[in-house]
Amino acid sequence: MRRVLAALACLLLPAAASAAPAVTAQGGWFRYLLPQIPAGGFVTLTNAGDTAAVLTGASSPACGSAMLHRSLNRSGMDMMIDVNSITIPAHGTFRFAPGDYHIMCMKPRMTVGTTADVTLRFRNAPDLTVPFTVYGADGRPTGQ
Amino acid sequence: MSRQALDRRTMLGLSGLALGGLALRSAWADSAPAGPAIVPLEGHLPPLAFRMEDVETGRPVTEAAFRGHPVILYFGFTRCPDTCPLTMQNAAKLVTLLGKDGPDLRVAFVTIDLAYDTQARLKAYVAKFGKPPVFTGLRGTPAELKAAAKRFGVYYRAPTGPDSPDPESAIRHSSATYLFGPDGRAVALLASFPTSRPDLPAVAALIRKTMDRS
Repeated sequence: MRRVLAALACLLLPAAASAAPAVTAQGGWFRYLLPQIPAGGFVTLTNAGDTAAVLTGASSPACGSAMLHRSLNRSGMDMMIDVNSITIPAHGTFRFAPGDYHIMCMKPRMTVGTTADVTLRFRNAPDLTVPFTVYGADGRPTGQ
Repeated sequence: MSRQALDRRTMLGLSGLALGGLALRSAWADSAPAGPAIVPLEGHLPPLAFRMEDVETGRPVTEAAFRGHPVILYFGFTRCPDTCPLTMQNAAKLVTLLGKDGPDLRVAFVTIDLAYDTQARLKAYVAKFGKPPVFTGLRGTPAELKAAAKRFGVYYRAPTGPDSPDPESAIRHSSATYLFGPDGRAVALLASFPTSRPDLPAVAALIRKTMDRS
């Protein structure tokens, strides 16, 4: 219960939190198929700071343009929505994953087996440039 | 439930509320594929029938080409960066899982995006996941696509030309993935197949059952 109170205190008093968000990225990867077909990017973001981090966009020289998207299924209908921002809670993680949140890489120029740099932009933290490993149709091998 | 687990849940709920429901929404997303992975359809959907272009050969093809084979039918589009390749990857894994029965399966990807998915593009796309005749890309005329979608209760909307801004997010389609038996009868809706938790062993077992019965 003490932990609950401590968590509450942090959440209710964001202005009092001293440390800025401290976001790191793990396991970034693209599923790349063909140059004319958008590639989906996935990554796990961890925020070790005391303040929630707000991701507002992504860009990559390997993508032309890149967007934050989410796949949704509503009553059997698959659709994709633009996402304006994603909050990574203080001391929390956020996972982009197939079938859910993904970075849409519009005009991919990349090669399977190499990496492509993606720069993540935050409202309240410095840009973070992350190497994404490029996989093909099979995606990232399971267990990684 | 242990005290610790309870506390964790309480914290999850509290932080979810405090952070605009983010944590709660994630919890909901995790449970999204809830419900049966496989929904029996026999008697509820007409047998397999269609006429479209097989993008491998550029020639018209009908259900007759699949007779004698279990068929997975899926409607998607190549510009879909996430769920469509995920579904096709699941199909490729399924073929591997089926072992010696794998080459008997037919996986038909029907494009709903006629403006963008030319024969050549769809052919190259499908080839990324598997070879013909197991993997087949189907491209209908607007009338052929409409007829197939109506027959199988599939909704699609692709209000795009190649110049539309971010056309991908305007495209919607039913995620319905159907299994038909070697005799063409509708067997099941593979509800979890277009997700990251496809339950492939259950799908493989059902496919083998349809093969035994034919």
